[in-house]
Amino acid sequence: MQNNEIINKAKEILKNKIGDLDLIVGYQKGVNPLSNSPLFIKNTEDIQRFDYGFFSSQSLPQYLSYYKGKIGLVIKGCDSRAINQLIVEERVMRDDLFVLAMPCAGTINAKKVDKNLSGASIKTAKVEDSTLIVSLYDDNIDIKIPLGEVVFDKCLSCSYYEPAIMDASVGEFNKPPVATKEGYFDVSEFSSKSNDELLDFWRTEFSRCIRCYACRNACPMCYCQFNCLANTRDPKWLSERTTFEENAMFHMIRATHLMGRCTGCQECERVCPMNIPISLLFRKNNEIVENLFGYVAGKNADEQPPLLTFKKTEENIP
Amino acid sequence: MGYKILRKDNIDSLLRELRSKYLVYLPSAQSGSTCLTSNEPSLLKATSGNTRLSAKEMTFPQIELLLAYEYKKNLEDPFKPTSIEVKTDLEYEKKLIFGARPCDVKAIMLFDNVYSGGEFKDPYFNKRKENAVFITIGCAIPLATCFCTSVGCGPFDETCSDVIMTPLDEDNSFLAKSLSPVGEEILSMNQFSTADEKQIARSEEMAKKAEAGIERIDLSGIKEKLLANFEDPIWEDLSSACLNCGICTYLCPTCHCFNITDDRFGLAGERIRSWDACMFPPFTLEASGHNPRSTRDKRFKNRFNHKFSYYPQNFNEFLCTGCGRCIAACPVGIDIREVLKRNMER
Amino acid sequence: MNDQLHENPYKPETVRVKRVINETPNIKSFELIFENPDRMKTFFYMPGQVAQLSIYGFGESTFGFASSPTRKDHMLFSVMNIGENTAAIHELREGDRLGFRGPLGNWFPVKEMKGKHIYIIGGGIGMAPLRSLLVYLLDNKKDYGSIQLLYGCKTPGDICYLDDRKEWECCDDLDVVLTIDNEYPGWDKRVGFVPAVLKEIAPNPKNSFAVTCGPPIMIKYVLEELEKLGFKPEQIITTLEKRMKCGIGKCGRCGIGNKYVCVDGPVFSLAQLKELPNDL
Repeated sequence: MQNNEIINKAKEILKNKIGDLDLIVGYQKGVNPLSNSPLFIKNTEDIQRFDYGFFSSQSLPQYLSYYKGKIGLVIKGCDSRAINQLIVEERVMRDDLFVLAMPCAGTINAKKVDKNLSGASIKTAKVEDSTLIVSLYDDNIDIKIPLGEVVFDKCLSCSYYEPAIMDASVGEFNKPPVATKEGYFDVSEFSSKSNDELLDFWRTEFSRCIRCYACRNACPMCYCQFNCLANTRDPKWLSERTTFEENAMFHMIRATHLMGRCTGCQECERVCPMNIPISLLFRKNNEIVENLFGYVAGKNADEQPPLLTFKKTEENIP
Repeated sequence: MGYKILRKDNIDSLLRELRSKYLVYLPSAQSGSTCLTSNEPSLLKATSGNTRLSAKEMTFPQIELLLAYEYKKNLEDPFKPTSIEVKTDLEYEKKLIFGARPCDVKAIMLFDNVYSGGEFKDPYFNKRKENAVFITIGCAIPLATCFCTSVGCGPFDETCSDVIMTPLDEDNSFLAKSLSPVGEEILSMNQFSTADEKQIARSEEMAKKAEAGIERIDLSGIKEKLLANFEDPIWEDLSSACLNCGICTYLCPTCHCFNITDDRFGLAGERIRSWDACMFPPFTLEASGHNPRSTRDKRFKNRFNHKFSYYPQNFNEFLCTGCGRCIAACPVGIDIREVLKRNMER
Repeated sequence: MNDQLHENPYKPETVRVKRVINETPNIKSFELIFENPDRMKTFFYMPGQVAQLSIYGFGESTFGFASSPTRKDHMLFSVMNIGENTAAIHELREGDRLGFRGPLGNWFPVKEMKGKHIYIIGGGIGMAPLRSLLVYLLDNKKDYGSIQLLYGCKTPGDICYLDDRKEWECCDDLDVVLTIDNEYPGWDKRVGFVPAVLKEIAPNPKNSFAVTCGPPIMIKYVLEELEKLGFKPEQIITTLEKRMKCGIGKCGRCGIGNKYVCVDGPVFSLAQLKELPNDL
């Protein structure tokens, strides 16, 4: 199905549903050429602005923590797991949700594009024939980058293209052509480095962190608004200092709090203004949890998370 | 104050000489995220765009040591109370920032109004400002996110710069104009050569063209409009996507709110000042537990009100230089111009 | 005058605890003096101003002067134990040292109050800055008309300044009305919330000022009641608590509209508050 057809079909479904819901959260063309912005639909007029495609990179379940009532969400396969996990953690009731599942062939990671272009500012962007075509302000030429080099790592090994929860859907769910890698390929490649190399890597990355907490606020599972570890004074877990040590502590504690809960949406990496590949830490933890407990967060809404249950003997732990 | 030419192939030699007197900061990219650093490599050759992190750090670093303290026990008489030694250190290195944009540098004047105004002057900011030199490069090609001309700034604004440079691509050089005695001194260095009338005229044409290329929003009366819209439900709508992170605040060259905290290590410790954001939920949390801005829309509204109503009421300037960083970096695509336009229309 | 504060307004001076008074189960008053005794003689402030007290390693908190500048033997601050900093302050004993930055902020309009009748309405810990004003007025009583104090607390055990009360109840120029929220065994004075008692007392707005401080909810109802009694917004004065950090108008935390509570306040008239956005 062509992208326009997908968008129109989605609009039809949303038009029919808006009367039953308090709010629908979807996508619209944004001010950023590489990324759609969220669209908050309260009436049929709002639906006109709906857009969807390779630039619909934001994962929308994070908004479920802000709104009460009957909410509609437009999701891709990877987003669906966040919804299931929120249901498991009793943050949201299944009956309050209307989930519209969209087909996805990968979304653009603007930070990878930044890296590819050494931080140059982008004027326009479009995707044609599995290629991202961008124009810069400085030169008047188009730069072509193969899609596989600029989609999120989660897209390269995507196995959740068929959403794990949905009430309605548009189009067919097929494995994205860019998904040529397997499992935790990014973590394995990374883990093959020596300990010294790893420490050097994170020292460089975390020294750039400005503690804007965008990664935490964008995470659908981080909903401790006022009592976050970063804000508590007694005990004072973290200093406000932005040294490597303090920053690393913040990210490592957060990664530990998300053990067995992270659904791999990579929002943390998408939002980071300093282009830190933060989701590597979380993906590593996800790999550990999957190996130890055979558990992947958010695959379905009635599985018990292993770290919230007690078993006298565990299969994979001697 | 004169004009000189700096050929791009003389930049390396200029930087070498400047490094003997100053710690030189240049725009550079790390993993695609740009900021001003004192390490190579630099992005000076790029003619458009500004660094993701602004030049605010130069005079207002994210972490500033306010004082160091130590409780000293009386070893002769342990029953005597401990005394406290408090030390401050306001010695700063001389910095030269090469390649910031006018929207970064004008912000220093906006900071000054608050930090050097009133009964108490901030000695840390002032000392750093005294020790900083700015060689600013104007913007020949503004971005779609730029709106400096709508808030009293411009692509070749000269406020607070020591030297302003215009790129002259055909001549593979920059036209440099000195704006202060320090700037004059720099322009007398031998890497600079005389400029001719035609080059000066071309740079003025370029400035006009750049200014004309930036979309203007009409903000007349926004001060009063925002106050009138204080209880308006439009703010719930405008703030619906906001994640309440600190990106816009931290990247903004003019946002200047901070926190003061103590770190203790046994009997000694330090008091530091660190960037803070009114977007964070606990910013206005009071000791009693009451929080005047407990909801997202109230915090969101406060940031725009501060920049476009409260600050202008006191200083007759917007607390914004139109650099567009907040627009480019906001992870949910909130556009400050949209917020202002919607308020103007109410 | 305060050279250190103007040279580096973030650097505290060192003061010593002269005496600790256990006012109530969660409120202690501290008599503080400068290390240098001469400084105490020349140090000057006005009732209503505040100071930042530092326990190094924990942080700084803002407290209104509870003492009056007319009495120069020490400075008095009353501290309620409700957080990390105040808990650390409560650990202080006689002779201990702490950091001090002050005086900061504006003060009660004592000049405009000359010749007028003054009604002081305090609730709980809000009585602290009002004590400063009260003692100042009593020490300058020829400049002012009659003074009435209405001071309310939850229970008799929460009432502060017992030593002062003996002085105040004997004073001819001062009328003291004490009240507690609910009946309490052994209490023979008034019972009722401060706004309700205020209504009963019905102070006369003619040629007078009303000054109030206390928990936010009390202030809200007291302000409403005063207006109903005929006081004009210019005659009603209050002092605000806001989360202050730097205390010198730079950090932005205590801002309401285009004003900073630490510089343009904490003392505001109701007329001034009405001009500010509803950000309290």
